[in-house]
Amino acid sequence: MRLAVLNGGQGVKRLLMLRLAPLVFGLHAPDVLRILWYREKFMGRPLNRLTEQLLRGTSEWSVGERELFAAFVSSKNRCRFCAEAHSATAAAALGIPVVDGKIDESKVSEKVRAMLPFLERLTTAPLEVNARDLAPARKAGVSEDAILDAVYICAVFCMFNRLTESFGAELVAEADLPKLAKVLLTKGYDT
Amino acid sequence: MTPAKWAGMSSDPHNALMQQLLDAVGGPEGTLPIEQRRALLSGQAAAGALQWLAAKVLENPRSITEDTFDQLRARGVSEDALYEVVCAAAIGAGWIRLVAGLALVEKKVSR
Repeated sequence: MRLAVLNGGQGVKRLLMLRLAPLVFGLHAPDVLRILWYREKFMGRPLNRLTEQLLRGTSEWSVGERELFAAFVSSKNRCRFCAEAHSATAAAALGIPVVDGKIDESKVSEKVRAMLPFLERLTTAPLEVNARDLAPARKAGVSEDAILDAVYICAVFCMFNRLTESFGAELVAEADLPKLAKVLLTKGYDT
Repeated sequence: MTPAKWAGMSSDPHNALMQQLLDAVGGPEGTLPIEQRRALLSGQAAAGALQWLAAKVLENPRSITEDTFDQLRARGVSEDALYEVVCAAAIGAGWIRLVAGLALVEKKVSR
């Protein structure tokens, strides 16, 4: 990590959890935890709670579809750390290959297919999005509740992508991605 | 201003948690002045030497390197101030997208 405080300033309990991750989960703790567990009250705790609700709480989108949105947005932001982690998680949840946020679109619902172009626009040109960009999603039957959830996921991953890129999070080893996906699907985000 | 209030919504189920995040990063516990963190949270530029870093976080975080932080350290910016600038600017980038997206949601969110 590019800040010294992120390499050991998380407090005894959290440092112990980071150190024990290989024994408990079979993989090194991903660097994003070093960002979120430093001065947790300042950002990590509320951001984790919001992320847990968005990706694991009540939604018309399945867990796998929401993980796919996270991976897709991260890919559009060119954030390999998040794109790889959430592609692996989406793949595990959906049971289809997901590589760098990309999927065989015939394997997902029309609603998901219709939502992705809007998420790309919101990620890359947020000041230019308009109702026309959402027309295909509405035509496909995506509800306002589901649009709202997808907008939040996009916004939160635009945050995570910048945090991990700016602080220099190291990529999760390819061999560890399925293990990380399993942890994220079983333990969630509000750690 | 909360996202739901901005969009004129009363039933945004994520609004409270988003507000908690904004309150924490823009609250009393911080190294940088509150006004500066709140400006970053709303996607605005930071002041002085930190503007350079905040702009990179907002627009091109991949351009940030060890040298970016070293240059700011050399100008006397603390580790905690660097941490807070990145956090607030990153959340600000999300906020811009949240506001833009919620403005398009029709006001019939049911939960």
